[in-house]
Amino acid sequence: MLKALCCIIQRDLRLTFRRRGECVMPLFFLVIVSSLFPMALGSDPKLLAQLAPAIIWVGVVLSLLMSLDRLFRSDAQAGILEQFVLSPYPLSLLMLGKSVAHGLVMGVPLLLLAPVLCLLLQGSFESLGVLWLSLVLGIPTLSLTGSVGAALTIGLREGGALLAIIILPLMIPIVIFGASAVTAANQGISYDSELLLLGALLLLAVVLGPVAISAALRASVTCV
Amino acid sequence: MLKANALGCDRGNRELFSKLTFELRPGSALKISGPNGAGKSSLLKILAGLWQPSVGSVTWRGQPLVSGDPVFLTQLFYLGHQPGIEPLLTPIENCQWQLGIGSASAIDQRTDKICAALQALGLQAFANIPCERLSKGQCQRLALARLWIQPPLLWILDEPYTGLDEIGRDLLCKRVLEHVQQGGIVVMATHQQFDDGAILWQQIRLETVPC
Amino acid sequence: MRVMDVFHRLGSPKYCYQILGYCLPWVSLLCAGLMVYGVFGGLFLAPPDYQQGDGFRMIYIHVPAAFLSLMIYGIIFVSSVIYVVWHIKLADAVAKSSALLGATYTVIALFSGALWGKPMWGTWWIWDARLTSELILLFLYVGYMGLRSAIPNPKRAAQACAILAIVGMMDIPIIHFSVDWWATLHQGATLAKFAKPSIAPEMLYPLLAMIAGFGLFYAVIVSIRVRGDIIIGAGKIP
Repeated sequence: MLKALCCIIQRDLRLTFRRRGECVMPLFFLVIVSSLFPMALGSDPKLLAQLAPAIIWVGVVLSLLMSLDRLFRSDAQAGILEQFVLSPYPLSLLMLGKSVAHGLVMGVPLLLLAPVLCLLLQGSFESLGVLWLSLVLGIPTLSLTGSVGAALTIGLREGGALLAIIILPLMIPIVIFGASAVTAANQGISYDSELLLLGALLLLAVVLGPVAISAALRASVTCV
Repeated sequence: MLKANALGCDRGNRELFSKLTFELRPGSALKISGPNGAGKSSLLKILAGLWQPSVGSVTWRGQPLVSGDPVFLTQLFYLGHQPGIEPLLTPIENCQWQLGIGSASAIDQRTDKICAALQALGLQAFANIPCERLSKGQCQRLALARLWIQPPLLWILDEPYTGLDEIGRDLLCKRVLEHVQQGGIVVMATHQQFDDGAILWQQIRLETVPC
Repeated sequence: MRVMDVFHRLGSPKYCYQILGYCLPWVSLLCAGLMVYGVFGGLFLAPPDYQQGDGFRMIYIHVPAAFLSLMIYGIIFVSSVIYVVWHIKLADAVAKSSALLGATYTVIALFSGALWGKPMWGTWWIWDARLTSELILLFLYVGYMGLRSAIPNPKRAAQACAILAIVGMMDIPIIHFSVDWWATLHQGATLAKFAKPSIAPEMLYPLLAMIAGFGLFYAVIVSIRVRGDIIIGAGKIP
């Protein structure tokens, strides 16, 4: 079973490296979106510093949405989803592999971008560690939750907007806890509870997410 | 072994077929023919367990087919309309992941086995080129590569000869013949006419009913 | 066994059509009666609240709408589970028919909450836990309806929406908890309390009547739509 998991992760990582251009786009999108806020709010450093955690978190969610849209699209076009469904290994295992690959591909660059964004938004570097930790806990959860929506909307014309409408409400708790953790760190108060809650959500997502994703994939592929 | 009991399929508001009953034992082959839109692909998908029939059931070794049953899926090879190939990966990489999530043992996933199969299919020279640069016929051959590496018992093939040239068609015909003679089961939807009388094909012809 | 028999037979469209047809006139009458009493009682019989004066009467619209909007999502969840496990088409018909009315109740709850808020706290909208949760519930409904209308294949739409409803319902406690937590973090003491801890009978009975009336109205609408679906599915009147 572990071999099949690694096989899927390896495959997805290989595909990502062959499509480097496509995968970098959500990251630039994040930078642009984060830059929009100072344009809209004015360059007052105090205001930006206060809003920085929120802007970064919202930007991360939006750029993940962009990448989720593509998650199953090329597989659906090549007839590969049927091969997934017909694999003797549990579909949830394969979907877990796909989510791990997606989390790695999006998460690592986002973590590297976080200090850059902090700089742009006059955020404080002392709370960078908390920002990283909240992103490490939050991005896999967002990825797993979002993949459910991506699996439900495979092959639909309105894909992108519909995906956003479906999964943004489900992502709200993660954003609340993630942004609050960093804001609390900025203000010097304790942020343990937020991080613990993020961890709990991650555990829940890891256990239930692949099951939901595989059910959604089956619905999209196997309904007459 | 594979038994269809009074299968019926409705797609949209059209009834594609009904009361279809047949049985396939090891060493048997079934050919499904019919005009476009008659329901050949639907029947194959139902036999593979991808779709649920509207009426009737499919049984495998006496047990009703349950979607996701690993025992059945380890013994199944299904080829649909699309070859199921990642365009950005090379043939070797494609075979690796297909075998990795399939039922192949670790020995069969070795690169030398994959290369041997590609050589048998005439793709050895293209083994490290991304599949998007291969022709449609070559991709179709690659889609069938698993049949040369680790062939499961039951083959369900939907129009496998599409895009294949004469050599490709010969290769596949020979492979199908070998498999059936060794006790495998082949279900195929095709317009191809077979000249060899070596296999006794059961035949089902689906027709479209004019509205 | 008789209860299970009824349940099994309700899965049959023909039986369901007849039962609903029989019950509809009575349920409609009851619904109308309850709502007349609720409105009359709420507007005239209930005494003015000592804190909020006559403004509190919005409770007779807001609370039933909010309560029912959540209950309808619960019904959609239960129908979705029944559809996914037992593949009973009527369960999907109930879920499909409930979504629009549930979303409408949510909008009514939000609107009446805003109308209530203006005279009470001087602002049209307030980001407190209750209203924010209600807003997120509206998003969940819109997502459900959007997915339903975007998928052309009816079976795929039914299965996909069922999965979405189940995932949504499992997320609702998490969302509610996180929004509560967020509200206490950012609002502090300025919370809006819509329901009083102890409520006089003259105020309570019309409220219960309105809740029951809204609920029966939902039952009437869903019954009519499910009967319509049964006719469409069968191609004739069963």
